[in-house]
Amino acid sequence: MNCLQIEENFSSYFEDTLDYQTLQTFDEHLDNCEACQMEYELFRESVSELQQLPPARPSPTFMATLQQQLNQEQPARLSFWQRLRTQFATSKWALSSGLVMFLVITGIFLYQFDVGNDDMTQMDSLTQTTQKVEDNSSSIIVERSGNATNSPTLRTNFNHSGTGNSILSNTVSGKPMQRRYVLKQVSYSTAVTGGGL
Amino acid sequence: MPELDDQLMQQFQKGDENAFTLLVRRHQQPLINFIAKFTGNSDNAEDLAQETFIRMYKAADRYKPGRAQFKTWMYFIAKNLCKNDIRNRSRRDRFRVDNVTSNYNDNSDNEEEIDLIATAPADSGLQPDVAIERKELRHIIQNAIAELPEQYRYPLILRDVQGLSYDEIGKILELRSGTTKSRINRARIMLKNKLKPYMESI
Repeated sequence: MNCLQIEENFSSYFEDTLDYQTLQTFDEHLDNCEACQMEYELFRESVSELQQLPPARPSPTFMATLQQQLNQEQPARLSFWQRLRTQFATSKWALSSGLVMFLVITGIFLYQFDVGNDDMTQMDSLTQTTQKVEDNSSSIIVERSGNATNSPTLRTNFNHSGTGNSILSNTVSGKPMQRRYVLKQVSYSTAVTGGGL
Repeated sequence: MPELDDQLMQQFQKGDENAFTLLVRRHQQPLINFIAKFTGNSDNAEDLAQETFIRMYKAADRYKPGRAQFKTWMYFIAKNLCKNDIRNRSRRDRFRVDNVTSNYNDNSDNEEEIDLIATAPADSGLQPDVAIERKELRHIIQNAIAELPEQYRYPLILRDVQGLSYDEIGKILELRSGTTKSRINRARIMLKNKLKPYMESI
């Protein structure tokens, strides 16, 4: 232990909180170092003098003056909502979670809005495509429409494997969402008409 | 003792005003002592102590028994009030010294203003004096404390004047245990170095 380390342990030595091994090393150093002996003696005297400073005491009128001032004050009685607001305002977690909630809700809203638009676009494109397909292969369309429901889904299913396949895939596969939609509908229509067809 | 403070606060929260009076009686002396030692000015220590109790009285509803000790809360409020007071006083003193200095340059015969300069906080080093008495030494210690940087003065006063534990000091100053201990040791060494010329001469 050097002199600097000894100084770092002055308080612990003064308060007698050093562990046995450190205490031995400390004492050993102090016995052989006159400078540290002097410094520690000054340290001990300074702290002792500080601890013996006479305390400042309140004047006899302190309580009476305070009581007068307290009589003019009302202790805060917060309502439930005020307390909730205060806690929310002071809580970093609340702020963070609020921000996350906002982002999630915004994300869901935008997602649904986008899907809604996709549905509308898809319906439009399907209608247009079907009309084109009907123009190109009207006989097949008529035949299939007669066998099952008249839903555009069935027409799509049929058109996928029919003459209008290239037109439909070009139009619908423009966006990934549209493609998913079509696949879903195909599955649905297969399930519904699985036994019938 | 802390449990009693908690019980009294709970009673006060239920509307028992006497409970708060008891709390004030229990803590008024240590609080005034702390403020006087920290600010180095016992003249307005009572005012600041009263302001501390008033703030606690007004915010008593937010006190959570068991979560924070009454004493920790009290010193936390007092510490902030002391900081503001020291800042305001140093601003006022600077303004006063500036004014006096400029007036003194205009009229060097104005002795009253020269006295004002003398009453401004002295930043001069402590002069060694072999014939120093114990009372003077205490005065010197008080000045030495006031000259310590704030981050060392606080823990030193809380530990050696108020007698708080390291744990309590850490909570009040929002410091970790290791930092609290090292700051107190550093503050004591700084105080020792400031008092060295006087202690050696005694």
